Amino acid sequence: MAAKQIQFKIVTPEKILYDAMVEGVSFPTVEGEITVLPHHIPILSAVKPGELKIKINGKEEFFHVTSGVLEVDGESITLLTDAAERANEVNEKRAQEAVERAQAIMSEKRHDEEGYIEAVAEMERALSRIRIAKKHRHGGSRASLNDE
Amino acid sequence: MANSVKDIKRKIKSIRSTRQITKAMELVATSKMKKAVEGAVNLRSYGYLAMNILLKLSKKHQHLHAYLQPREVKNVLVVLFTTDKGLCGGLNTNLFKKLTQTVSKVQQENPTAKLHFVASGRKGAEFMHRSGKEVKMAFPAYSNHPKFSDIFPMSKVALKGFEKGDYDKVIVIYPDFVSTLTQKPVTKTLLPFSPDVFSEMMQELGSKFTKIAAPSEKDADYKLEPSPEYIVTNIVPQLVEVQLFQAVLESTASEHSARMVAMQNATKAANDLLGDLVLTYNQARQASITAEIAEIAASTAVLS
Repeated sequence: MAAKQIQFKIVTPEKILYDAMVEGVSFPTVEGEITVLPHHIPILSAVKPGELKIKINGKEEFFHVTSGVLEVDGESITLLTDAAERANEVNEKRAQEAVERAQAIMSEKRHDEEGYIEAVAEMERALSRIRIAKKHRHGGSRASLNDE
Repeated sequence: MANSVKDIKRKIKSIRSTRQITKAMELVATSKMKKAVEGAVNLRSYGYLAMNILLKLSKKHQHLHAYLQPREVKNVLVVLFTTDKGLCGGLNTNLFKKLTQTVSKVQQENPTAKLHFVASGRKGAEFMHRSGKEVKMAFPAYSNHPKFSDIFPMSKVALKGFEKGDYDKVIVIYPDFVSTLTQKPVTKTLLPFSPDVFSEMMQELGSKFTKIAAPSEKDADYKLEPSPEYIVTNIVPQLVEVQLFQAVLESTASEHSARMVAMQNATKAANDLLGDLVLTYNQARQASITAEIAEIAASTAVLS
């Protein structure tokens, strides 16, 4: 074991998407990006839709995540999220369609508070998917979180 | 004689067609079961980890959210998950038993509490009506590929009702999918969430829970970002909804596997019955042929 590592898991309602020893993970949280390295203090935080960066064996892997909960308990990192996918697997066309759908619902359900909120959340998710898909379409792993 | 042969033949025909139906239902249930079980099992790690987080929050930040605070129990909401359709063995009966047990337990603990009932699944609603319980709301069973948004109407009743103070405790009863052959009805306190509820859960679910989310012995002192209030208000309701969704998926998986096993047994019973009947039929047919030959032989003997 060359570098210090910490167990990292991405868990969605459908499956455990990712489970490996990593060197560090950067999360998009409601307060901005945070990076968790091994021996991080225990923390609970709310994750918002955006890009997740995993450092593993000196390489970087990118995921798109939607809102969820991040838990670091000193020994492992667990991310509970509604949906997640690898950045290069994001379906840009579908996301674009989702944006349009959400827009339609938003104009339709202006008076339905819940429907509206749901549509806004859907829109936010889709937009963040598009952003990430665009970023990783060219250049792939060269892109990092810093050059936004 | 001829009459009974005809009777047996009719019986055989009717059993054959019944067998065809049970066989078909078995196949349908099998394919539905595969999907439902997969969904339930996959959600488990998410659900159990969510419970773990709830546990930690409930220990440290109990005062921050109503969902985490036990209060005097005056009104109890009981949510029962059953199926819409029958033909699934003892699944619903066992759930009814569990309901009766739970109700008497609640009444023992809080003699003054008033009970309210919500049913998911027609069978549960019917049972409640029969046993004279007042059903607040009856939802259909979410048997086919339940989606997370399907439970919103129900979670709204439970969560908002709890927030408003209509209910001081929410209990769900659902069949926990143990294996294809075993479904165990469990009672789970959904709200308020407390460490006691957690240990109760651990007992009910046993090893498959600890395998996924073993509770750590030491209590790490969590930093909550951006603020404990934000985390608790945003995350706790979602985690509670997941618990409810878990119950839905477990009942779906249980329903289909129970039906599959019940139909398998029915098909097997039909096969046994058919074997017996065909034997009797052949014997009867043989007997009638022998009788006929004897008659012919007798009449030729008379003629010659």
